[in-house]
Amino acid sequence: MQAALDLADQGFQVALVEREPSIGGKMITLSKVFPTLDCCSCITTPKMSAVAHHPKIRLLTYCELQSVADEGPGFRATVLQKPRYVDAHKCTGCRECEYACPVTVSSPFDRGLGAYRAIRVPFSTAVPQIAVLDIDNCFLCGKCEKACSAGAVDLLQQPETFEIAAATIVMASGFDLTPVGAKKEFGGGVFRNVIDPLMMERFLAPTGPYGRVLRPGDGKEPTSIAYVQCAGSRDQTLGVEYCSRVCCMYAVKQAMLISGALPMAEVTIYYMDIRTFGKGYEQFYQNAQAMGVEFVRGKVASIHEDAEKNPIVKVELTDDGRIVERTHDLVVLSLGMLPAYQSRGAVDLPLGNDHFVAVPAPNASPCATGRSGIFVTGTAMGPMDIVDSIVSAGAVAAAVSAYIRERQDGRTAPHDQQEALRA
Amino acid sequence: MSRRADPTFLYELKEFGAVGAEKCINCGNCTAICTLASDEDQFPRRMVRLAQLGLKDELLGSKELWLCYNCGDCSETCPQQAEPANLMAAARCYAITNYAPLKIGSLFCKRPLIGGLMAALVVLLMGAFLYSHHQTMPTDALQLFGFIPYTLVHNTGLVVMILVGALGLGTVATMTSRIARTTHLRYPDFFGGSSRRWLYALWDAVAVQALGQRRYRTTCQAPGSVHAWYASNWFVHGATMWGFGGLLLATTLDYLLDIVGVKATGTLVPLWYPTRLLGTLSGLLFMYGVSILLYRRLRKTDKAHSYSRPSDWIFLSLLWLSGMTGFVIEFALYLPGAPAWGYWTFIFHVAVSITLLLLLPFTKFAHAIYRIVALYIRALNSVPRKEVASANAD
Repeated sequence: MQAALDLADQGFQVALVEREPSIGGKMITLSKVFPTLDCCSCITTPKMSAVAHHPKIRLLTYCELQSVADEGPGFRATVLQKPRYVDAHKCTGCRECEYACPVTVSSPFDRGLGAYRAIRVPFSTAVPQIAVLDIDNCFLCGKCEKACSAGAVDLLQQPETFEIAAATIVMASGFDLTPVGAKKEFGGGVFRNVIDPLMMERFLAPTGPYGRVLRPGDGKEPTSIAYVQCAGSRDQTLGVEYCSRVCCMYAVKQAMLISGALPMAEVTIYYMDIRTFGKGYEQFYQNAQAMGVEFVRGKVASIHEDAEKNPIVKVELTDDGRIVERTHDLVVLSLGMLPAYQSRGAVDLPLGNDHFVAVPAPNASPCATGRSGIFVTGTAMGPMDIVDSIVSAGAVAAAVSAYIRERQDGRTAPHDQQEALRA
Repeated sequence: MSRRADPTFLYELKEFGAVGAEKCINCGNCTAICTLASDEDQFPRRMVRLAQLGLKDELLGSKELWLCYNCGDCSETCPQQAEPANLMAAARCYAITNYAPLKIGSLFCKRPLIGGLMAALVVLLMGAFLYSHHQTMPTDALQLFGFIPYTLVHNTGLVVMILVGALGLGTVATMTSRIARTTHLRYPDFFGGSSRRWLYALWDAVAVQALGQRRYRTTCQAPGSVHAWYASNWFVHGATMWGFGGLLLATTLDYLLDIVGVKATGTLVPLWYPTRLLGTLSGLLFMYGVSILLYRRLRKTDKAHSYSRPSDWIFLSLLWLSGMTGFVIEFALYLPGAPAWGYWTFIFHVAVSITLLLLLPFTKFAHAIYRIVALYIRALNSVPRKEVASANAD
């Protein structure tokens, strides 16, 4: 998104291809950013809006990149428009269909903590504000079709493919969390009061499903919350050897926010090392300590449950060698980052040992992939936080701009070119 | 006590097979996943730490080395794949070498070729010694003791046992003095307080834990264990140990029966004859255990069996050979015409068995002694707390 805006502002024509029905990615689901504790929605929503309204950006949501072929000096990308079963031109985002729909579906936007209808605008600040029908959960009652005053619901919509000619391609495919059930020692995902950090973000976000922190097991307000660091990265048994870089900071940040949301709650962070590498991060960590967040050095080895479904963590307190089992109300696994990019034959890009898109010369060309003309930015190239992702977006915009100007060199005016962005 | 870090020590331990310990970042996952570790018995992380720092006196003075049953859970779950279970095994090998005189154990721990040749040489010499006293091979029926006089076998066995017993006492003295130095205990502390206390500890160590395998069976249950009881680590180990004990007992009883004149050694008795029945059943159990142990190490079925030292192979091979040849002889007894290879197998069987005993203090076999001592010390320490608890209750 940021890269698209930066390029469009320079006069390049940009096509932004988004897999989901709305742009915003993971950022729009978060509560606050570290270390400034600014509201994520307040940062992201204006950018989403700017993308939607920029004359140089063509926003292509709910699309999948099918294939990329070399063509002349650039590329020809084939893109699949998945059917929304709603006419994007007619829909006004009034949500009448949503109110009429009788089917309730667990909402991935809320990490399954909330629900929405089978036909809906994905979330309140979604861009574009166009409804989408989840056909797998729809039983074709037709109520939405009747409710829609614009006549936008079209149950016969078919997938369509179209092509984009582009001078360059920027991969901004982001990350996924390591699965919460990956480690059988942590219950393999069956403990309901052992959650992933994005769930906690939804608890803490002002747009969250409950507007407060409740544990999913029984809806109680937790008074003792534990963070298990390195639960998804720096763990060779999971094949994730790298450090995901953000987990220490988001745990510290969430601990601070919990201290605000639940003043009586005790928050404990179990860690191997605390890595606060960014500007202002160390101070942030020290603030959390001063606020009373407990930091315990020791890798949690296993988690089990008591009869009340309270998770119990077993850990060696490595400072004095004692082995303790501590009962908490809620455990957050500080999961790591996996690349969300799976080429599925669409774009063949060399990957690194960590399975993120490889950047052969990170110091000289920090956004260039192993394929000329295709660039990568953000967490598609490796774990990074929001600050670094924004820097990376600026870097890729500059690299793309330089690449096009150099290659075209007066033959064509730069603004005639298109960039395909997969965000 | 001043401590001196020795960064080269880990390289020394590497020769004993400590692969990966340098990767350890001391996160404590291994100790927390270990079901045997406790606040009093801190391992494996503390042992890895001692190894990394080169505090070899502390390492050699740690009873914790022998409280581990090598389930491999720590290695399976180690986020750094630093193989803590393997470090424990290497440290045990190092301890065996250092507790016994002349560091003969290092040959078996570090040098597969020399160690293997050494063991083979001892078998060969023992065989040659037995053969030098041979008489004629009776050909009408397999009369083993007609070929090698049984007094020779008995007496050699006795001498070796006395020798090994004396050596074993010496190594135990070394081990306890090491532990005493590290834990600031005095010798009387090992028989501390009332006689009830150390008798209890002795009973717990020998009967409950060693013979009964209680901690191995109940506490040391790897959560990820997928084996049925008969294939579980504790049972396979127990089968080996009980089988060996049964064979030893059957042999001893046979000897005693000979002394009191009930049955002369070498008399062919039916299968249901008590000592023979005990021997055969023990032998079957023993072969079951040893074969599975060997198979797991050969196939590296899990982390615990993936790193084997020469000592592991030599010990298990000797066990397997002695058991197998025993059965071959049993088989040969029923063949007509008293085949000559029956006699040769017999010599080999006796030579291997005596070698096994002779090398006990230097090979992995020594764990049988050290584990009991460690369990004894552990039980000794755990008694006062019970007494305190009951005193408080009163």
